[in-house]
Amino acid sequence: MTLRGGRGELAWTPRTFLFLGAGAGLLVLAVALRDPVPLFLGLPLLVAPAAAALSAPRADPRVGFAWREEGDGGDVRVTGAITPGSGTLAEDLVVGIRRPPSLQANSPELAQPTSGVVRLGCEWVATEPTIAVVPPPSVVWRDPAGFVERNVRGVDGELVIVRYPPELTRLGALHFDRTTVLPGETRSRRLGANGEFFGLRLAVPSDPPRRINWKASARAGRLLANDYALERTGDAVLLLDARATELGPEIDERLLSIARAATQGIAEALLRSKARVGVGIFGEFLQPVPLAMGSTHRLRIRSALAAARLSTQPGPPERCAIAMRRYFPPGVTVILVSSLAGDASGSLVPYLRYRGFPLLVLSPSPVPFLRTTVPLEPADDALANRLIALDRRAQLARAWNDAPVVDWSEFGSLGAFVEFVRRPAHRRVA
Amino acid sequence: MTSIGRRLGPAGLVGSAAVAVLLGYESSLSPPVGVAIAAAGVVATAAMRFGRSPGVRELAIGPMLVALAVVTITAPLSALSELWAGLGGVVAIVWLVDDPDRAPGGITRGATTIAIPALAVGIAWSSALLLPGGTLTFGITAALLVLVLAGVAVLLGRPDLFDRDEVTSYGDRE
Repeated sequence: MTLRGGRGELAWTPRTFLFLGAGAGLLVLAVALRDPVPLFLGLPLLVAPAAAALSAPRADPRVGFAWREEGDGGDVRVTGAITPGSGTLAEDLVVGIRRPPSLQANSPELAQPTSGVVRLGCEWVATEPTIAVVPPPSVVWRDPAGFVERNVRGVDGELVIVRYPPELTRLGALHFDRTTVLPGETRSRRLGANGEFFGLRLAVPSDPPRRINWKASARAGRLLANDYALERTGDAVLLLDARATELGPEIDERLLSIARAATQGIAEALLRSKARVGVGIFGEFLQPVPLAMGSTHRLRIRSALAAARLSTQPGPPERCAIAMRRYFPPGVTVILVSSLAGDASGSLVPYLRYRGFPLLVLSPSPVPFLRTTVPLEPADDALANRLIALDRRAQLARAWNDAPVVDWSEFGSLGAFVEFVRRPAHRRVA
Repeated sequence: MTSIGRRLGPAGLVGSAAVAVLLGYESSLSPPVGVAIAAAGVVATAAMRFGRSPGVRELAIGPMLVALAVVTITAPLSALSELWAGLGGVVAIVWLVDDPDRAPGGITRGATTIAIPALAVGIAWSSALLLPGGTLTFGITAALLVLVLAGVAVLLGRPDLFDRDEVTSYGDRE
């Protein structure tokens, strides 16, 4: 805690007030007792904070800052460096690293001043799929005695850590007309400037020189241009259900975190196979990321998913379906990522289907998080777990009336989902 | 991992213990009581420096300041008592600067923060020793301290007095 007037101002720490309070108290006592000895103790206590302020930089110091994320699987290693500018010592910088709640610490976060640079090192573990946003570390200049602080400029830029099950890397090119029993996307072919060679045609004035096939033109005696065919595997919309359910905010938050990571993983896999991908995040209203492709679009989706929060005002399913028709063409395959917990989540499926969207549902299961807080006998505990499982099966069965559902309870793996979309069968996947 | 030695802060610990025990021994309380109070303050501060909570470590110097205040108030009026009291304040700052949660070498980096109060104590003590004593000197000292207090209060209210705008060259503006 510090007392500060704002950015660019010196801030006094609680230690300063402790010293000044003690000094002032000794001064009052000395006058009251007419004894000069307490004055001698009070004098350095009163002077020290001002001396510390005199040694402080006259303006907020600037530093250079760079950090990155490494590691694979569940391991997350964050390394970085804070390089102070001239006139500032690395030892005087106090660094605070805020760990996202979805990551667990393997060892304490390190911010070690070494040869003029503060080295950052964090070793975290992601036990579940997650998109974790690590805010930039808080860095302040503090005098060695800890009396005064100053903000430090130049430390900005969040770090987004994405961890999703590795099976998604072999999702490959999908043909969405096979992912559902309902009519859906068909493999389309688009002629243009990208892709494989398709054929020759008469050149038009707007054709750039590199598109002219000069050898063929010489043989034919007229200008011919190449046509390229870009095979598209189809368009897909990933719809993330971010509405609160009766499971409670704690479980909802965990499920949403897992669902966000899965959505990002699926989006990346589809973008790699040159599919156009759109994303919708439905809380109270639909937040769409329109259909597009490319690496920039991947970052756009990642930013949208990282910013997705649980909505405590759940919107009606009809609103989602209408908004989907506004932003996405009917018939495009929708992969709904929803826990299907509660009637509102389940009813989203038929509404989307009635609006013309063929659906596939990936449902992160809340069952692993549903534990009774009351201690039970082993037999009663087994019965409770059995009832929870039966209720879950009933929810999935209701959704299966309108769309195939992949139940996802082992969060470390999405093998069942990958198997289903690669080799769809008209069967339930557990 | 911070070692036990760094947590204790040997320079500050030894200095504080010595000064506090001397003041406790000289206090008008019986020597064992004075020494016990001083030692309790030093031990409590040393223990709080091992605290898990950063807030506890932040205010660890508090018990020692309280113990020093008690033995100082009960100390008899003498040049030596004044010297020990002044040194007590200075070694408290030394102990503070040797912060186990910060990078080593705090005493060197915080030399200014230690030197200015030490200089103030030196001037005050030599003035008290060399100048003729009496209520007049005491009044002047008290008035000076009141002025210092007022100055510090002004500085606390106007931290921007320490600020200075960054220099911007024409090249930067472009």
